Amino acid sequence: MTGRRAGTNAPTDPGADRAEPRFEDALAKLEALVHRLESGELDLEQALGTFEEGVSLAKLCSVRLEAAELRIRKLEEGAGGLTERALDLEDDE
Amino acid sequence: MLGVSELVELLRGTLRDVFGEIRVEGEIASLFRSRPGHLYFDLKDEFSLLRAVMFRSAVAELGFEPQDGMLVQARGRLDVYADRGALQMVLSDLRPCGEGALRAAFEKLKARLGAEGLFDAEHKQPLPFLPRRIGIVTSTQGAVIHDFLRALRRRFPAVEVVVWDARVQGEGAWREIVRGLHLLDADPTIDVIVLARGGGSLEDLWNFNREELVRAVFDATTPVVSAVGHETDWVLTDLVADARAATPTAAAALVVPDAAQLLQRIDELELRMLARVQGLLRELAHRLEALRRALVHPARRLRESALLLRELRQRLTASALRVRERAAARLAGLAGRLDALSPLAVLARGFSLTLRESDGAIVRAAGQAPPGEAILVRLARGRLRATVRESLED
Repeated sequence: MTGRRAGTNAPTDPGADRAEPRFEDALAKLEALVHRLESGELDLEQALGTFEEGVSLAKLCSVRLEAAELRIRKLEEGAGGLTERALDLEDDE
Repeated sequence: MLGVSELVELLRGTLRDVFGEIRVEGEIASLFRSRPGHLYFDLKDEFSLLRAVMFRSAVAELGFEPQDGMLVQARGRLDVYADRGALQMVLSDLRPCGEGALRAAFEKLKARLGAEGLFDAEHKQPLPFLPRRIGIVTSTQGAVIHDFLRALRRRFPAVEVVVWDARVQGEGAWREIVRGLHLLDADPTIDVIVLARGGGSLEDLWNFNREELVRAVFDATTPVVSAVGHETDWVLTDLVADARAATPTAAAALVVPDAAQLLQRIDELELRMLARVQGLLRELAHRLEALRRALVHPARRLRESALLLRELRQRLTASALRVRERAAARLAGLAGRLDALSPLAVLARGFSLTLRESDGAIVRAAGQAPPGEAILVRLARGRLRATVRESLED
């Protein structure tokens, strides 16, 4: 058997273009903020700060969800190596 | 007068020219595997027998282990083995014939790979919550790719799909599938890979039982979903993959979350925050009010608190406004999308929709738009603003 899968799943991310937090992390953080707000442990100033942070996280998440059209690319292997081009399948919507 | 070698050579040429490549069906008997890996056996039926040989290079391509008693379809050329002047068939391909033999070969391979631990749960990787790019290996010809993309569009359109077009049945199709899997796996921006094809008989699906493909799925570092559609039977890629889906639509549901549901959850979280902060402000206002009544003196401190309260209120109102505006915009967006689903499909076929500009009413009869009426004609792409020149009732 060949060696498989180094370790368990570190989500495939070579650190490339990842300035934004992952969606699921942002959502988890938002949930945590809401819970903290609802716990009643914060004074008003902290509560407002948390609220504002929460609102911007919610916005970040929604934007990611609402982004545009499904993009379809086709991977091809030719003499010049690998290429990707937009694939336009006749859609039977 | 011919020499023996000349005659045998003549025979060989004749056999080659007259028969060319042929297929023959028979049962394997007296199977012998030589040390270098060639296979020698008899192909026979009730009355006759034919010597057959399969050389190592062809043996390496077999997806199963031939055995005595197995009914097979063989492809190859007739030849004369010169040393003995014996007729033999040199095989290029061999496949079990009949569901029974295929099933037996399947069970055997399954047991062997299973014993190696390839199907063990401990090797399964979780699928990403929200992949950036989804790789799919399938044929761009069939309905499968359309079903998959349609389901994605409905569920979560904000992703990118990378398609590797591969044959998904027939001889050697597994090579194209393995190639695609390797290439997609090597791309670090692809977070999950789907192998898909529609249902079929065990023979149709045979490529998905190829040991090479099963191992390639096992070795992939990217999570793999096997969506080889069929209700009852599983193929080996189903067993080795990190997840299995019975249909392309189910595969889409596995690889992306439901965007509408997530948006609802986010809205709900925002509203909960809003309610909480508004509650806090109300509480504070009450406390201030109580203080105001109780104290006459530290008026300055009180004024400061009142100022603070006003500022906080303003910030909250601004935030709340933003939340509400966004929720409203999203609703409008959703409505727009719904709207686009059906009527636009009709427009795309060349029909158009006429509206009165004055009140937006749909014009269904000429009488609704008398001469001089400003109308708006919606086409599949763009709109026309026009004025009615003449209005003709049928």
